[in-house]
Amino acid sequence: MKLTACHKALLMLKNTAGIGTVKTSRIADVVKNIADIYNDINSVKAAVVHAVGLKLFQQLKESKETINFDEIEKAVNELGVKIISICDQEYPFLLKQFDDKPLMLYCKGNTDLLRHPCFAVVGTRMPTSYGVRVTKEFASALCKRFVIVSGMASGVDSVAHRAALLNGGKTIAVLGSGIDVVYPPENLQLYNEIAQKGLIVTEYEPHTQPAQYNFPARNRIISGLSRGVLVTEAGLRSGTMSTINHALAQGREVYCVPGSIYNKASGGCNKIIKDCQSIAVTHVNDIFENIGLKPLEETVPSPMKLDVTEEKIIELLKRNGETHFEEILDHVDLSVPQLNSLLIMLSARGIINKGDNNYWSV
Amino acid sequence: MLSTLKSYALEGINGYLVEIEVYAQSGIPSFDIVGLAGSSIKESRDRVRAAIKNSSYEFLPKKITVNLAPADTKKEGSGFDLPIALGFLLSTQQVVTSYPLQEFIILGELSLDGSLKRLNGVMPLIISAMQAGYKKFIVPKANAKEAAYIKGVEIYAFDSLSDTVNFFLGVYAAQPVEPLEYVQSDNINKYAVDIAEIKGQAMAKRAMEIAVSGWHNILMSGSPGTGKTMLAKCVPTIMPKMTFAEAVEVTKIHSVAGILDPEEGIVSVRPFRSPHHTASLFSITGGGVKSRPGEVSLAHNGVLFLDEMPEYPRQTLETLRQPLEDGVITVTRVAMSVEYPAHFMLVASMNPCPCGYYGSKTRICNCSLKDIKRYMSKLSGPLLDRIDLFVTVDDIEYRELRGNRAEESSEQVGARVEKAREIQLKRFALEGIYTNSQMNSGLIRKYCKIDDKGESLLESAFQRQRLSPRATSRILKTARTVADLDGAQNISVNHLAEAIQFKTIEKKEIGYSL
Repeated sequence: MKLTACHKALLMLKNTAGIGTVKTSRIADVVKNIADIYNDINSVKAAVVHAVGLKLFQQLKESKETINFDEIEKAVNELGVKIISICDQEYPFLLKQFDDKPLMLYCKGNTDLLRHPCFAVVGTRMPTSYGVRVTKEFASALCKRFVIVSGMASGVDSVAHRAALLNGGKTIAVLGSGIDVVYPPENLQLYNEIAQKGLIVTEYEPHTQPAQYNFPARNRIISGLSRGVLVTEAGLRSGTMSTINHALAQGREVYCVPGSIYNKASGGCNKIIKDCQSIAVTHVNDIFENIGLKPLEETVPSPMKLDVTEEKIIELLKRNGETHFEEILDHVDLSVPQLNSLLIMLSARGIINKGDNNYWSV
Repeated sequence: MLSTLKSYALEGINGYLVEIEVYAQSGIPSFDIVGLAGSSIKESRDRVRAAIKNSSYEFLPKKITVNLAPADTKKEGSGFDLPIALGFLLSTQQVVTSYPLQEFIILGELSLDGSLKRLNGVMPLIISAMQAGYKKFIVPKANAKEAAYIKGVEIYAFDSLSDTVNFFLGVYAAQPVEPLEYVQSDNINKYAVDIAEIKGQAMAKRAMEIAVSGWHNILMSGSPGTGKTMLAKCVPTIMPKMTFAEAVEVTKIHSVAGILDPEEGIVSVRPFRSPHHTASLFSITGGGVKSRPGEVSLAHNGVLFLDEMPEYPRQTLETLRQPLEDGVITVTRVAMSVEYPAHFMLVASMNPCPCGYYGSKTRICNCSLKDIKRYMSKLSGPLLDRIDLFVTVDDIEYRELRGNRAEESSEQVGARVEKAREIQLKRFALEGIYTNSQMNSGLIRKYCKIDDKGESLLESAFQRQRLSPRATSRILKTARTVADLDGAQNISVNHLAEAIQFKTIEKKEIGYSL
């Protein structure tokens, strides 16, 4: 594709130090046609100077010379990237609603997904087995109604993307780097899969390396694109808290899966529930009901053949949630090796799961 | 006049024949030792001179040449002092005897006063010489106990040079050393901890029991202070007793390394070696100028305990790969290439992350993902592949909650281990190995048959966990041990399940696995 005058004007605005997204909106409000900034900046001088002052106007004017538009165009074409800017019709409606919106989105994949209803699933980069399980469960159900949006970071983000792809759903990854920079690098396979079956979006120019401050900024796009944000597991100081703050500022509903009060990994989730900033959810239907959608029908598990001891163990696990090996041992009349192999056989049948540190759950 | 005597020198843990020729002739008085003698042999000239004078013989002013044949092999050690002194006395005709000296292998280091001192490596030397057909030996008295465990040979042990000479002259009628019977020792390491002192940790204890029974390698992971080191210290209390054949193997290595207790004469307790993570590469593998067995060989038939495994230099850990697979380590130096036995059981411990609290229910881990990956990457895939059992040592909090189940003592666990080991010894009596972990692929096919149900379980584990073929055969070996502990003839699906579950590494792909 060719860069339009409008794209070039936006690139000038992006590349002028001192003009951020907020000042850009201010300029956009007073300049009727943004393309004029590129075509003939002097014709809109009065308006721009009124909005941001003379000094920034001068810098904006000079930026036209410093930006290598051809190079960007070449990179965009080589990478097969589509640009969707605020001037374009395709720009997602939900994203348009707030001041801090990204000016241009570099997209790779199926851009139609931006018109579908989206839902963000985010969380810590270092989930516990509980967090992984919750994310899998919610994301695989949510992807039946929504496009799952997340940040392709390691941990919960990756689990959410994979769960959506695995269950035939669609997913959008919002990056904090250039569209051709895969970060973290081990997610290359996931990146390729999302580019093929879903959509990858970023506001950064091609080849931009990930920087620490990019990620909180990219979080506003994750929440901005979405109807709601689900946090599956987050510690008190997790980066996910920035997504939550953006979501609240943008008026998006935040949903949180509570964790054990003793588990520090769920500290952030529990806190925002406690502070009444989010809705605690324990089942995906809680989200659907809150939005006003029809709840998903529960699939009734087929009855399994279990003997008395097995019944007893499963009963215990259902009651306690995650249960330690030795606690189970206290409740049954089995030796360590007997119980050990019994639990393994049950997990091989898919009835129970092994968590971290010798904990088991149904 | 020329005299020729026989002695033995060490190469690795084996010996080779060295003929010691001493020639005394008239000329400018001198004393030369030729035949690539190392510095400890060169110095023997002075010891021999003093010892001869102090044993009331004359050090006659002659031109003396000592040749150590074969002349093209570099020799080390102080064991040639005695044959050189004897050769001197014979060639200067101070001692004249018709005694068949050629039948003897003579070993001994001389003190300046003419007494004989203890040597390193006497047991391996005698065993090598015996295999070459020699039956009569002269050793220092301090080595008598060590030598007395070898049957079918005549060992004469003496205190001094003059006793040895008098024996050959027929003045002193010495009797061969009484052979000693091997007694399995009940002594255990004084730092050992009884397993009953550890509360809870049922899984870790079970894993340890399996590991010790079949001599499998085990890696414990857990937060600081959860008892990983304590569990490792329990290992000596549940180890099976050593058979005589095993004890001889260990004694040979310890004798060469010079750490054999002369009072004991034989190593009857399985070694438990725990080198610190600052240990140098060669101290672990063995080698160096004088080619000494390293920690992996000193732990032969025993335990090598690596506390905080990821703290060891990567290079050190990677060198463990050969011994972990083959049970031997080949040390190649400029002068020689030596093979030391190194069939040890690896017991290793580690934290789940640098701060130690990843996955903990009670503390927050403040390591970044990168830190954890870097920490984990110290343990390479090939190394982890060679470890049979992975076990998480539980966080302390749960132990405070648990009920009052009685803990088993080391004696009870040890009895089960002993039983499982007996089954293995019986099974492998004709195969030349002792434990399940030593089985090669042919033996695995022979002894680790599994039924269809087991086959499909293994198949699904193979698919799900992307196991390597080596990991699969290691699972089968562990399953064999589990079955032996159960007293079962065949490996059932339950035995296999337990083996698979212990082979599974938790959190290998920290979070981002699906």
